[in-house]
Amino acid sequence: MRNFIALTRREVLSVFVSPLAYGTAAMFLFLFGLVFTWRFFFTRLVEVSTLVDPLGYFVPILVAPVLTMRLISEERRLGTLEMLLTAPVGDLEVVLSKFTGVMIFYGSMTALTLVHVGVMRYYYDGNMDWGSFATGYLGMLLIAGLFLAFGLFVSAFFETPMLAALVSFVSGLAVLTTGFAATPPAVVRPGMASDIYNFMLPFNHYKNLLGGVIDTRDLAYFVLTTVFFLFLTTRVLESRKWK
Amino acid sequence: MIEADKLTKRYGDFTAIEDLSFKVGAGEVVGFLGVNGACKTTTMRILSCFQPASAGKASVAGFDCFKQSLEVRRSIGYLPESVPLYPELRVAEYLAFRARIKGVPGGKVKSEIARVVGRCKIEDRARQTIGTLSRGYRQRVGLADALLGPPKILILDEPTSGLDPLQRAEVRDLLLELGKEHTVLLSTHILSEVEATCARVIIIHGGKLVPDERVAKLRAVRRYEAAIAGPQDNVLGALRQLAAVDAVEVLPQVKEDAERSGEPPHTVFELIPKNNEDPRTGLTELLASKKDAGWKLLELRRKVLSLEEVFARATGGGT
Repeated sequence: MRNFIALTRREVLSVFVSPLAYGTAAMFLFLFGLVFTWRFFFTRLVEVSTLVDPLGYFVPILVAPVLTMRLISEERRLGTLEMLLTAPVGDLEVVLSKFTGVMIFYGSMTALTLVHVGVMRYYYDGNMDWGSFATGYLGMLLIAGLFLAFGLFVSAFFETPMLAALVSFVSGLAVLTTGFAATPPAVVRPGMASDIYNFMLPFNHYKNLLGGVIDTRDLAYFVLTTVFFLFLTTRVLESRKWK
Repeated sequence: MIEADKLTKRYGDFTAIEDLSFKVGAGEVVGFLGVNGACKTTTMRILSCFQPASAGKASVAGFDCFKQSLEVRRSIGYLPESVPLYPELRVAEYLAFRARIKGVPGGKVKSEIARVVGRCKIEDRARQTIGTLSRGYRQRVGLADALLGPPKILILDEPTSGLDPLQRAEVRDLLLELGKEHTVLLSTHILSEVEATCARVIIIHGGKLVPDERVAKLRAVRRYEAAIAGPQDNVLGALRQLAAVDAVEVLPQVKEDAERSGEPPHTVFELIPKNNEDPRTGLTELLASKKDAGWKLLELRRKVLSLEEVFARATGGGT
């Protein structure tokens, strides 16, 4: 635990002194601002989907690869991974701390979008549905967690951060486009196969949370997939021992 | 403290090291020598638990490098050759991070950092960002990191590579001091360094160990150099008659040097003693008896084969 805290502190420190992270945050906030301005001032809809529909779906796919690309690949390239893994820390602690560090940064960025909620509250006379905002934000963090874990996993394979970013971005894009283009999937007949297919796509679960619905299936989906990728990342780090 | 038992490391078909066995006792300072590509780094990575061996067993501080990797890592300070550091952090921040993950208790982190920073003389750079440090300072930060803990054993991979002669001398002095408290295994291909710092050397060549006995034997061969004034042929004949002498050679002289030194005309002989006996007594007696004939000893010195020569002979064949 002590190791984990020390490692996470280092990760957070490194993110918060990196120009790249601030550039990403600027991009993130710009996109959210754009979506919000567009939607709110035209639709006047006071709900959490106003914040993210439709460009907001795209944001974690774009932002997560940039934030995660360097996490392991840079350590590989600089050789600091050797320093890190010859210190008395476990591989799992290293992976979890990297994930937590980047999650803290993503969380801070997301917290800044609460400004938009404040603006909505200011112009809105009726009763705010705070519950749906809470589930919406939970959804934003959960889907970000999944893409960050995936980006971290990809980062463990490459020594060039750009390559890692490219691979995780394209993968995210593929998932997003299949999700949009194929509802209901034209090639899959209704039934179990189609259900499984739909269940696999993260954005279907995200939509539920944005709609204010808390379903344990959605929560379990995000937690399990995130843990799965973190576990795989640990195995990739460990793989140096089998080679 | 460090024990390698028949270590073998293969990368696919390529055998990097083969059946490497050696021991480093507590408190020893041992130099690990080999030409570039002799897989010194691979061996050190195995000892520091970064990579496992394909076969054989390595143990450090009594723990197995593969099965008890955490315990091993707790007892070593390891400095890789390229000195990888996080460029975006400040020196003090970096060392604080390393101290914490190395298990230095929270209350002692500050004093521990002060200790290693003082040791490596980087007090004035503590606030500087690592990315802006010169190579010499980076090396010292790496060393300071290795000292955090403090660990019982230091494994240093080429701690002086990339340094200028002045910095090398500083690191050498530091290593001499460290040798008093830690068990040190350091690799290098700069031999003067090893002569100055290490009590013992381990030479690997082509992934195999050059046996200690062979190194010891090469190092034990002593030669004597004597500059004697007198008729060359007669002196040579007389020297060959000496009981303790195995062979005598006439060394070529630099003519200019002889003129400048103002010495009388003389010849320099190299005496190789029989079974390492000391031929000097016999030599003085001989010269005393020939005093009237004008033979005169101008210079006599004992030569030990330098590590450079030992290394060349051990790795390049030769005798």
